[in-house]
Amino acid sequence: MEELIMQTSRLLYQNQMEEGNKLVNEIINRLIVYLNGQPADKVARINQILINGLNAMEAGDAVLLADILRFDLLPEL
Amino acid sequence: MSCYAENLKLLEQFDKDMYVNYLSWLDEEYKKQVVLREEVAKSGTTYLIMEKNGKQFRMNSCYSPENEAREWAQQFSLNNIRQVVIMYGLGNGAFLAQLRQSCKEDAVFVIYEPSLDLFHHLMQHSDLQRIIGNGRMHLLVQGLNEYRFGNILEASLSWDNINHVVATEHPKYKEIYPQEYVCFCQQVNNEWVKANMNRNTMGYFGQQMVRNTCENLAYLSNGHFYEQYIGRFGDAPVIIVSAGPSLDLNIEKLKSAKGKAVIIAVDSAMRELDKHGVEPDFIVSIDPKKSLRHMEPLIARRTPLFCSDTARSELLEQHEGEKIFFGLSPFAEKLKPQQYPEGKHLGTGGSVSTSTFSLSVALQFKTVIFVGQDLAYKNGMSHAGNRMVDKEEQKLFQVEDIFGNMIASRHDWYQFLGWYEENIKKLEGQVEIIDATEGGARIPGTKIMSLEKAIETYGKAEIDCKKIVEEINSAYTTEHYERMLTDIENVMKDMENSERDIKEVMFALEQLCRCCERKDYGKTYKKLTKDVVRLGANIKERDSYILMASWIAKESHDILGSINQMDGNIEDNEMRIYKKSLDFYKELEVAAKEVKQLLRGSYKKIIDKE
Repeated sequence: MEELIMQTSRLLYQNQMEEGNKLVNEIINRLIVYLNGQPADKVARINQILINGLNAMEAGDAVLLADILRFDLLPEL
Repeated sequence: MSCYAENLKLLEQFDKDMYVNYLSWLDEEYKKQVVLREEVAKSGTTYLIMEKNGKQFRMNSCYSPENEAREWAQQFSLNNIRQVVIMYGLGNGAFLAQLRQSCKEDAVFVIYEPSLDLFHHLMQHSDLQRIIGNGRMHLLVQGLNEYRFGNILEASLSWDNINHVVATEHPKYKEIYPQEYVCFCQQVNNEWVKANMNRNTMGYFGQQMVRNTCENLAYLSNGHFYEQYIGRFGDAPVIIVSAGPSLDLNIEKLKSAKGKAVIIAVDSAMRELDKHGVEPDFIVSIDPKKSLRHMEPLIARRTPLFCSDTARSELLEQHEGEKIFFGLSPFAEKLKPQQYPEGKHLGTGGSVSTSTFSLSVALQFKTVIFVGQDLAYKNGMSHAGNRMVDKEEQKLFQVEDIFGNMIASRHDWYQFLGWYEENIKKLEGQVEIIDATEGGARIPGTKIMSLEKAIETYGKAEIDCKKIVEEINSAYTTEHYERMLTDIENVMKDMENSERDIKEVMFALEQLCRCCERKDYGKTYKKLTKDVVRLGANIKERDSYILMASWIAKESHDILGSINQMDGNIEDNEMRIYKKSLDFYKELEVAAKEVKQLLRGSYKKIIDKE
């Protein structure tokens, strides 16, 4: 997962949106599996991070999305 | 001293034009186009926010700008020798700093900043020492010095580096300045195409240019540099005399311009001028293979000559007057006294006339008058004196003449016409350009006038060019001269080291080919590949490589042109690359011997001249 997040954020920093967005979907899919059985407070925190990330994605702010993945999501995993 | 005062001082010291333009911009009442502010990121460093037309743009990561820049820069391959990086938009400099860190020290950066407000912000809040006071860093700011962009690109992109040029943009600028971005891309693309054409020229002239550079070192060590003449001609206009067929019309009138304007003639106009008893103040010669007949008239031999170090050496030998160097090759640039820093390149445009135009602008003439600049045929003739000098059938173009009719032009003239248009546009409001050719193609941006009227209107000053030349000493003091000799000695030693390295690298490449044949990719193979990379880098990092590479320009294009094309399996590709590299080093070995001989001869010639 760590490697996937690092690679995704790198692509987003480099403005390679198409490949970056594909990997974001892959992260979300893996997170759905990962969150099963995690403590509720952790799930809530990760959910909030995901919402922030999706907002950044919707606003077309690739750098903010990359930052959220790298600096908010990664330390939670 | 405040950061702003430090930056201003640097600007004044290293880029006078930009400094003056910046001060006059500050003096004018300007309306801010964008609002800039800095905020602190989570990592503790600052990031920039730009507000334009009511919209906010965050220019860096608000978490960690340094991490963003590092990750962003990883997409580029920047470890080449003499890497060129062209960047659109400076932002707060974080991306540029990261690119610099990833490049070797000899990398050249050309940065185009479309926002003067941003530059002003950086002047006030950032230490710009690494940008302004750095000969390898060219900053062009729209509204201050963007007119130099084309020339700097031309100087930075060359036949031997176009394969590893990185052209990129600050991630946000394309969105904030889209129109300017399109212009930026067009200009970069144009220069890239030109560099490709130069590649062909180097293939044709490469050896001759190296030969000329070496032979001309003796003249360089006694010569003047054009920088010594900057601003020396006061308000006098300059008349650039080219050899187009319309020169026959007004050649006699040039006599009345003597002393009222500075007359600079291109070398190919000299015989006609001599026939009519017209004595120019200066001649210009840059062609590596120019016919020596142009230097036959006594007047041509004695008139001060503006020339490049790659100009035909026999022509410089025939010439007895003062030689003033401009448009130096990268090798000669390195031998220049330190007070004339490397990097102040003038655009050449591809012909002696276009080069003379660039030179005139650099010499700070405020009025430039063209004579004999037809860029078209006249009654089937290509040159003054009723001459037709086209050696082969030319592709013809129809262009508008100064009277509004269509006339025939040639492929190269058509290119020069485009070059003039582009460069004259950049000088709008700074230099007045008069076309007194009295015929030929219409050059956009020029004022059409008869030569008589132009002299009457602009030739008010009294100018004594002979006196100006006499007052200027050789650019080389004893100390500079000795340093130049030491530098040449060092290059000759370099050559010997390179010859040794070339032998070693060839041996390693032969061994690698054998390993490939045996399909042996073990320890020996790995060591050999490392050796090849190390030795190749050693050879290419030395100053002597500039000369050797030019010497084999044609051969290296042929050999290396397809080296990066991958087809077939990996082993076949590796074998092919080693064999091609081996061919390349064989050529380089020959070049090293030839160039070393030439340099030895030149060194002796300099000592003998002393």
